[in-house]
Amino acid sequence: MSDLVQQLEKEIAGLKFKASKSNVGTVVEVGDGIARIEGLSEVQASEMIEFPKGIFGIALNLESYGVGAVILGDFTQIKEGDVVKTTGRILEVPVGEDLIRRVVNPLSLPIDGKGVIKSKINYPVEKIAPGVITRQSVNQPLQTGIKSIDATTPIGRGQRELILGDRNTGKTTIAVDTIINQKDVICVYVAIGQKASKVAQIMATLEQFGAMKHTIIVAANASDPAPLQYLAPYSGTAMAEYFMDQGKDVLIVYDDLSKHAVAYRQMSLLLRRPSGREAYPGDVFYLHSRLLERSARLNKDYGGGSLTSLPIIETQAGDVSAYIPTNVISITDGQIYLESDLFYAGVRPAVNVGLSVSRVGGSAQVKAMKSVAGRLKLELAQFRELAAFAQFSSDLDPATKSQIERGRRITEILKQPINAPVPVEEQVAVIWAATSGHMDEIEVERCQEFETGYIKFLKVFKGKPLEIIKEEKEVSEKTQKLLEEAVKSFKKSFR
Amino acid sequence: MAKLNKHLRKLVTKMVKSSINAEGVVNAQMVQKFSRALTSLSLSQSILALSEFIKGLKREINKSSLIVESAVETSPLLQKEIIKTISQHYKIINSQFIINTSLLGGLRVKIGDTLIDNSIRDKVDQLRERITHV
Repeated sequence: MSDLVQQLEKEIAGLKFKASKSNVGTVVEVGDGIARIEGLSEVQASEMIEFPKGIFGIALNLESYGVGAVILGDFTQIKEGDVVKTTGRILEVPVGEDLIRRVVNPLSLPIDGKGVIKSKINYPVEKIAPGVITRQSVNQPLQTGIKSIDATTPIGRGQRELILGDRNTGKTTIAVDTIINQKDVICVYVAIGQKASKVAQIMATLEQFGAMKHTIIVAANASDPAPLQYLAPYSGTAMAEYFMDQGKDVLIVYDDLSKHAVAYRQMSLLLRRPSGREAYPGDVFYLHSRLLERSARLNKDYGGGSLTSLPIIETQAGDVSAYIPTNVISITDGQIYLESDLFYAGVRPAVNVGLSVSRVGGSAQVKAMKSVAGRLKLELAQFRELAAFAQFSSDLDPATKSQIERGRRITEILKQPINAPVPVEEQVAVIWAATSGHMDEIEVERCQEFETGYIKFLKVFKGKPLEIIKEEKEVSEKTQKLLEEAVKSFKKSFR
Repeated sequence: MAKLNKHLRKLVTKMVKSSINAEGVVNAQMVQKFSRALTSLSLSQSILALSEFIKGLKREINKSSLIVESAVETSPLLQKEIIKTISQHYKIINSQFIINTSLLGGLRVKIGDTLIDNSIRDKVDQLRERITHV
């Protein structure tokens, strides 16, 4: 208590009163989170403006006799005739270590009831993306712990990999599992327009798996006004950029950018900006491109940090050719496409390996995974082709039949329960076993059982092949022999 | 929603500038002349152009209007002194002195879009802002 009094006394003593000079305007119209203001002749674009009762806004439309602004707070408290002041500041949010483990709103104010965040460092929410000089190519993997992704569409640190699919296909689950699998990576989960219950559920899951200790959740829920939803991904990125500037690796998940585009459309229409395709404004591409361009892998001269982003897009009835999905597909460095049909057929995660791509992740993949994944992709591609063909003929030659059978087993081992990321060395060992034909005689239904047992067996097997793969990061001939020896011994005991 | 023609908008801007003389005083004759010209347009364009013209004039008048708020009544001597000081930096055509007891003390001066606040109320607000961050 005495500390607080002393601190208050110190603050008051240090305060120098002076006449304040500001540029002001008057509210002439207010509603739906938007205000029209007359005056403010010296306001800058995107400048923070102050309404009465401590409510802030952002000046977005600078017109000849007034300003169109979005209100970042309770707009019902603002009335016509209220005086608005410029602040001379572009919107900034507090960033720093204090935010880790916390759930905050896009203005970095806590919404988890765990007390005030005492961060003194502020970062602007809008920042120009790192330039060519500061970057280096993606060369380090970011393990998701999901076999089908790490093997077929690997993600590198600094990459932007889109997750897209219909509702209830497991998009968020992939993002959450990826966060759970991180150990040395700071994660930022940005929830845009989600139900508060879903955000609470995600937080509980992350807590349960100990992932909150390296995670920040930025939430602009469905009940929050559109300006806050619009701001959320930019605020989250500012928080992530702080850690990237410290030389750390950061992962950011935008869940989801479809709702972000919808919030921006609402704002733009209320600001009377001209609308284009699907009523989105003309700069909806720039809205996402300037956000995702901030993901980067910085070179050593600039700290060597990285910002990997996983934007999520929800498609309607699998239509990837809609406006927003095509925009974001063209901005990102690849996409993980999730299909409802696969999901309901029990393939979970429902990744369509054929349509999913990673444009830069391949060069970041660990050698061990690269050596086994090449064969896996080939086997799966052949399986897809033959499986489609085999639907029309019942009599198949033995080579085709065995190809299809192997494909079925590979599909089976790529299935994975939720919140159960698999370490890369275990993924390599399992994929190696499947692609080398060691699982061909195992019944498809028992493949997962085989996988679990095989991994358990490898952990206690003499020679410790898993540790060797983990250390060497490649599958040498010696390791292959060891794995072969192990799989043969395990098969004898597997009934 | 109907929009004002681009050329007409430019013309209205010019009309606003021509309606104000070098001293910043509104020329009533010019305003009447321009208003008559604008009413001769089609109804929708005329309404939009006139409203734009009025807005422009209002803004121009506002630029040289001084509003001084104080918690207590200011003496004519002080009023003169205030106008003299402010006119060193801003053009003043008309001035208004208002009593606003919520200021508690000091003065609040508004000229155009610029607000200079030296009231007790503002100082209390500054203090409040400082201590709420502790």
